[in-house]
Amino acid sequence: MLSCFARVARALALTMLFTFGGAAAADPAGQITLLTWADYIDPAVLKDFEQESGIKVRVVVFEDDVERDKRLVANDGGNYDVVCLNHAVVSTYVASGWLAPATASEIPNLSHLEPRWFERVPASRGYAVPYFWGATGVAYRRDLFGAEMTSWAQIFAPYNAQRGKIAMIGNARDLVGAALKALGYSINSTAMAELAAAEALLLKQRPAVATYTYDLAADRKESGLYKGTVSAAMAFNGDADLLTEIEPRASFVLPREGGILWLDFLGVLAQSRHKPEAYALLDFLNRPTVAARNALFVHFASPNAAALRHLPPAFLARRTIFPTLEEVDRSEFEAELPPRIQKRINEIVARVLR
Amino acid sequence: MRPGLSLKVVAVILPLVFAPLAVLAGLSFYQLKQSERVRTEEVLRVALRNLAADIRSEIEASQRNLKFFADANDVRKYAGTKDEAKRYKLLQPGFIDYLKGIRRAYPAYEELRLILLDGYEDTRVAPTDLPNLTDDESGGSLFRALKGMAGESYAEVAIHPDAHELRLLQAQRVYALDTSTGLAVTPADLVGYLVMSRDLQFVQKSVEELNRNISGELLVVDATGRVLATRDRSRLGKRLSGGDLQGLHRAQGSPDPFTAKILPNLFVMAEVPRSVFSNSAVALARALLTTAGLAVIFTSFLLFVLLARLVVRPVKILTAATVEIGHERPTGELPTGREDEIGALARALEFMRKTLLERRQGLLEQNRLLAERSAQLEFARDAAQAANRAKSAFLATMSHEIRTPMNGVLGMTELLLGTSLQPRQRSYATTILQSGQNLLAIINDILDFSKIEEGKLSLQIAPFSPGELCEELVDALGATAFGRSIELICDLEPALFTPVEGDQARLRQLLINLVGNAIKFTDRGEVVLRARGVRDQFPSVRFEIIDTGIGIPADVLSHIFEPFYQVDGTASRRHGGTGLGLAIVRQLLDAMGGKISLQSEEGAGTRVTVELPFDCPPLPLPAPRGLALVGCESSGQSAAVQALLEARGYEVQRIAVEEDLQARRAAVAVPPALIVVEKRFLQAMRREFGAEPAGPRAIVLKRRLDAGDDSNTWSNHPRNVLELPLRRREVEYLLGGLETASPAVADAASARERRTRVLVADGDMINQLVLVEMLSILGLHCTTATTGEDLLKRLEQSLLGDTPTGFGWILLDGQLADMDAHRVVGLIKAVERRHGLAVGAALIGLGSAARAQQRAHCLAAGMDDFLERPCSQVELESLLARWRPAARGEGNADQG
Repeated sequence: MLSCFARVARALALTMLFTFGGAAAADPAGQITLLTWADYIDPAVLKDFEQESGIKVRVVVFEDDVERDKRLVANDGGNYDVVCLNHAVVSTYVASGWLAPATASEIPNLSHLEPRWFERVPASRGYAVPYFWGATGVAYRRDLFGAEMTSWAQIFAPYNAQRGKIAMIGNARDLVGAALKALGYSINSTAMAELAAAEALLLKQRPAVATYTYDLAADRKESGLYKGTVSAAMAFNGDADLLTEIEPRASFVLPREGGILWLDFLGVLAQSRHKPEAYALLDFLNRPTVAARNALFVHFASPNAAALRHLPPAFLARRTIFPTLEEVDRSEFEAELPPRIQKRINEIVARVLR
Repeated sequence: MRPGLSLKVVAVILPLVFAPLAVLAGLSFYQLKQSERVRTEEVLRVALRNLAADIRSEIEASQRNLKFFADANDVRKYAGTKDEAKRYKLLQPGFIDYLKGIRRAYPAYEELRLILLDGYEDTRVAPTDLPNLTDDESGGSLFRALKGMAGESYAEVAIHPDAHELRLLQAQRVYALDTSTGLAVTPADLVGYLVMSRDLQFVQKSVEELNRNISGELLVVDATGRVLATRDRSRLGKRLSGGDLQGLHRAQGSPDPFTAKILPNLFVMAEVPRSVFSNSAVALARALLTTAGLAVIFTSFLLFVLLARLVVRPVKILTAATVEIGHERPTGELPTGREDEIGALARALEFMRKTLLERRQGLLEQNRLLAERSAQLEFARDAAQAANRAKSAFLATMSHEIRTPMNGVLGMTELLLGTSLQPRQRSYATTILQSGQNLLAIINDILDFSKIEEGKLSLQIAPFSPGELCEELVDALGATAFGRSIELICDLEPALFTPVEGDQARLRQLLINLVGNAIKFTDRGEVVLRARGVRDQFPSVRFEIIDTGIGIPADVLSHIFEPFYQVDGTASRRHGGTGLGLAIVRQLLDAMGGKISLQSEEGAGTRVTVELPFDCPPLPLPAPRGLALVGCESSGQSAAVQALLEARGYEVQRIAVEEDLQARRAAVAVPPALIVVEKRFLQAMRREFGAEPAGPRAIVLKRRLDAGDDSNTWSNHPRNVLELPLRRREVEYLLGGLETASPAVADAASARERRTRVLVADGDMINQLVLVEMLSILGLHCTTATTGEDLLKRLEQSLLGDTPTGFGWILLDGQLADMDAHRVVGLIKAVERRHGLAVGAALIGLGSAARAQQRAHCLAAGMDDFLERPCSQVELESLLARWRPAARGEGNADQG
């Protein structure tokens, strides 16, 4: 009986160990692997790049940041050539030596990028290239929610009718950040008491939450918001914007406490054996017309200043994708936190997600 | 109900059956208990071993798992990542997922933690409800233990600081793995400890599993004796007590069969049950007991039935047959056919029944004859009783019818004797009179007896003086006695003159009968009537009638009180009488509550003793007056004199013969104060004391009816003479005079004068007139008074003047208007004393017959007699005669 237990344990451990270990085999010459969110790059753009350069791009998607980090940790930053990473981990990736240098010398089109994005994340300078930026707010079905969404508090203390119809993003910083926002604190708070309050709020909210998996991560027609099983969900603005195109009763708001601003980068991994090809991809993607086409596909705001000129005015006028200055001012950009605060947040999320 | 024979036998047999069974059961029980104990202990030991092994293997298994987890590359890589920022930002969420995966696979692994070398709790995965108090574990006992642990792993049971409960804590060292190469760092780089906390559910589970089929209790306890797991969940968390705790302490030092140590703070114990019986043993015992019980019940039942059939039923039949043995036909069939003892008994009983029946037939025949005879007898008795009653009635009627003509005969004879007759005629007439009187007495007896027998006798209780009654009676019979030359002596205790309650008339009748009989049957000698108070528990008065007559033969003593009995026909012819006297006496005594006894010696005399319940208190002791010599011919007479003298305070010495006197005189140094002698001693007296005795006063006794010289021939004092039979009053008067030496002043003339004078005091003028008229007929002079004051004045007047006379009688109303009887009597006596009157007037109370207590009242006040009004001339005359002054010692000179 006991040996049986041990066997199960070993099997489990082995499974966990090798889940992400051998996902990416060594790429043949002329092919690179991109690790990114699903639907976060226009396949047509990749097709164009292949035709132009002869480099085939294999796309590996992750569902959330944790999965991406796990994949990289498993091979110590190996196995992939290009990775999409959120701004919060850039410095750590750099410090871990996982990223190869990414400067104008390797990627000439870097010049199209607005310098202010590099200023936002100083560690990125020379190692990572801004890809898209956006805001995290609340997407909701006006018809289902039954009220106008104006505050984070509304999804943390939902009416009874909404219980079990709330979807949250399980990502540590986003989840705890939203709770801190709902409490009126900064998303970058390091005060233990505020974090404890956020934990309490999250635990209290739990029974009302249908899922902590991002509702709009994949096919929008499969999402809870579209199907009506979810009435309100934390969402990234671009994803929500795409949803509104197919479901007019859906809306996206940055609540009055402000949204959570983010900036995604692309980086070339230090262990990549196809660095020139990787740099070529990044350069291609930052070509203004390409960047504009890509933005039109993913419905997010591009940090590429030159690309904006190639975007139709109707797209630029979309408030969901391009929040007003006032909305941006209300919102906060995730800052780097002390490691043990990060650990505390991990702990909170571990407890909330169970 | 008393237990029957069957019950008794069963009660005797049962113990005989049950005792071996009980002993057997006890022995089996003991054996069973011993083997059960051994078995139970063995089972317990095995169970304990199994439990310990279970827990140990479980602990070892989880320890192996833990080691496996700690050796996992991901874990070692995570722990080996020194950069906190990288570890927490990039690695920790994955690590947490890893730990959560373990927890999902092993829910018993409650808490998984990675604790760094400095005690910082790097990662913790635990249920939400297990709060994390601190991230810094460096101060905790667990961390100290981790730091100090010798091997790679560690296990203990300790109180979890967060949960505050006992947990199995296990830890495994975690060594760093190079992040980039994925190879172990050399030399081994210890970076932390993977700590797992298990709750003790598995212990409880093992305990419950193993406890299932054993008696006794398996326990898991910590070092302090706290119960961590046991079958009885209510004991969880409680401390062991007593012997178990001591066992635990022992076990911490040395091995103990019922305690095993698993970890420093984890012990398994077995509690040997107090009752060692397992269910099977109990079932066996129960079966045994049930079998024994059933055997006992069955045996008793069998015994009971057998006894009932073989013994009790025949015995019951026999008992019933015995009860109805007298019946002609017994209801039950006797088991005579049986060959055993009961059959023999039944046959004997049957024989007895038949014999009895035969005897009964004979008895019935005899009874019938007897009944016939008794019916005849009854008839005869009834006839006799009727005849007797008729006889009594006839006698009464006849007596009455005869008495009337007899009165005529007697009256005419008296009248005839009052006329002038020739001596011969007078003699005939006297004979007629005497015969008539005798006949009348006989008739009276018959009448009395008839009355008594008819139950017509009723007592009339009133106060009277028994002494005076006796004196009166002796007076009345004196003539008869004198006529027969018999001395009649009256010997009375002076105390008897105090009035007592009783029927005076019946007593008189009784005594007359006895004394009369005594006189009748005595030819010579004396008859003594002696009366004494008996003062014991039942106060009474004893009357003795002693004669010196013919006596009664011993063989007839018992018949003497039967009616009509006479000692012999010839005697009756000689002595006369109806033979009813003593029968009447007997009847009277029965009525009065008295008793009689008779002593007699044929030819020597008879003594009849009668006791009657009269309460007669003694007189106070008198002052001593000196020596008195008494000389009488008869000792009875001497006793009578002695009684009177002693009551006055004299010391009496009797003189029997003349010679005695001298001897006595010589012997006595003191000269006697008084000498009382009969006439025949006079010569001796004279010789002794001379013509006129100077010292002692002398009294001469003479017979009242002696016709001879009635002067005191010895002394010149004619008055110092007492007549026999003695009268108390006379004796006291005479002695009173002698003792006080007061001269009796009244001379003969005044005495004679007094005999004609009566003072009548009555408030009622009619009554007074009638009385005065009646007194005048008797030739008496009356002085009248209407009140007590008046009376005293008249008395005073009569005693004053030249010739003080006084009155012979004073008749006074018992209820005078101004004075009560006591007062007036006291005042009369005072007046008389003042005038030196030795003998006062006779005081006679007057009163109505209707008021019975008036007589008693007057007598109590000191009056001499009582006269009921209205009274006849005869009654008045007899009363006055009884109290005439001469009779009270006025002196013999007045007689004639």
